[in-house]
Amino acid sequence: MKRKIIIYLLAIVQIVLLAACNSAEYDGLTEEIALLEEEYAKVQNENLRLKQEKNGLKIEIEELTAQNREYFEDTIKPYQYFNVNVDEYIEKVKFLNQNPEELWYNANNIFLLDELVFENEDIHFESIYTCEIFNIEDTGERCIAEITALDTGMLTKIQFTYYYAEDGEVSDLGYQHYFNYSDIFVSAFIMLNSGRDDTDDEFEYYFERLFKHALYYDGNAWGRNYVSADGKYIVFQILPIGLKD
Amino acid sequence: MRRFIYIVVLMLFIVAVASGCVNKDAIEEMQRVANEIEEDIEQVEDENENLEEEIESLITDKEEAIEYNEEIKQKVDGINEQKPGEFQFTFQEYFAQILYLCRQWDMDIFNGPLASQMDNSDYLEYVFKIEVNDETCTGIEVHVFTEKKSDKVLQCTLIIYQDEVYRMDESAYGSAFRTVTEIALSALVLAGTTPFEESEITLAILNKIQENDIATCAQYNIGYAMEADDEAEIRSFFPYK
Repeated sequence: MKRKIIIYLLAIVQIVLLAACNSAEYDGLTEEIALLEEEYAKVQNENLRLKQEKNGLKIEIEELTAQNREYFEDTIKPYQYFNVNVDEYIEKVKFLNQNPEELWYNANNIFLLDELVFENEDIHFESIYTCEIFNIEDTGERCIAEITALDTGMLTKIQFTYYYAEDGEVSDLGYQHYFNYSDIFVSAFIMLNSGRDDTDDEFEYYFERLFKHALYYDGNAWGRNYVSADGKYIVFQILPIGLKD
Repeated sequence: MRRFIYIVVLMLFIVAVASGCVNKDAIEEMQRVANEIEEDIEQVEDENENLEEEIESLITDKEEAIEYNEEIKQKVDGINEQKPGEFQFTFQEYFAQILYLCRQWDMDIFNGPLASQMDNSDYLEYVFKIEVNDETCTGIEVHVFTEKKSDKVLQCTLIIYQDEVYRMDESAYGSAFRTVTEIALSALVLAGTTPFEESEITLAILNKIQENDIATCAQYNIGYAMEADDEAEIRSFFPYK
């Protein structure tokens, strides 16, 4: 009998001891939770601060961007853009590159690149599309076309920069490419601007005026050539005249 | 008595077991809460890390916007600033005005403007020719000097080669040449003010400028000088102030 009671009591003691251990663990957990809650509050506060900082920055950037746009628009004179969309223009240039017979009757003799690759970079409120026409590493000759548009997509500038060869000699390849591609870029512009696809007499007249005399009155465009002061490159640009319709 | 001891021991046993079970459940619940909080902390920490990255990127954007703001503001200030020795308009505006007037007067630009940088200077020189609408006359060469960066016009010079100068009489040729001069001068008066619109500019005003009438030159901010040699007659217009 006594033995049984002792066994029961021992069992009880064991259970009580276990309960006591649990209670200690419980207390430890309570403390840990308190610490975690404290840490959570800290990271939440940090989160709130960061969100506020982010929103503050966003507002500042929005204000600066609005101001910058205002300034930028102040620099754009009225009518200083062409009624030509840059994507359509680039498509047209690529089309003529692929279909030279649209421009030249003797297209078989025209040496062109297989593909023109334009890289686009958005700089503030303008998009600049750059295309390397040629880069002759042996001579150092290279030519880059640069098309500029407003963020509305309206074309504002077509530019060709031709870097002379290091020895000052113009290679046949450079010469051919330069003129073939300036033909293509000028023609694509006239075609889109005038809405004509046929290289008829009127087209030829416009082309002649813009290419040779750097002037395309009806298309509200003029051309500008200038040679860099160091004589290392020449730039040919087609720009809007800014005439009111 | 024995039964009583049994009952007490049994109750103690039940209480002990129940207490152990209650504690175990509570511990499990506490553990769950602790894990949840840890997860929440991790989540917020991740969010904070992302926010920090976004903020860094926004700071870069802001710096770029500030940099561009200064640059574009300078450009706008440059456009609006009235520097002595330069007109308040660019070559492009001047040329547009020339084209507009040429169309009105049935004149033509024979050669488009060709720009070249003057030596290593900050100036550009544009050259184009206004064609007199007559086969016997070759036209007047117009040289426009601009500041390279702003492209603002500094001076406009008309070159009339000597074999054409004699035509500047009362004949039809002379009249046409005078018209070219008037176009170039009118464009200077109009480029910075009311482009492409009907203006108050009259021949009398243009003549007064060419006579160097002080009040008129000051009013329109255009000075005039003329020189001639064996080859050509050179007429220059420049800012008066």
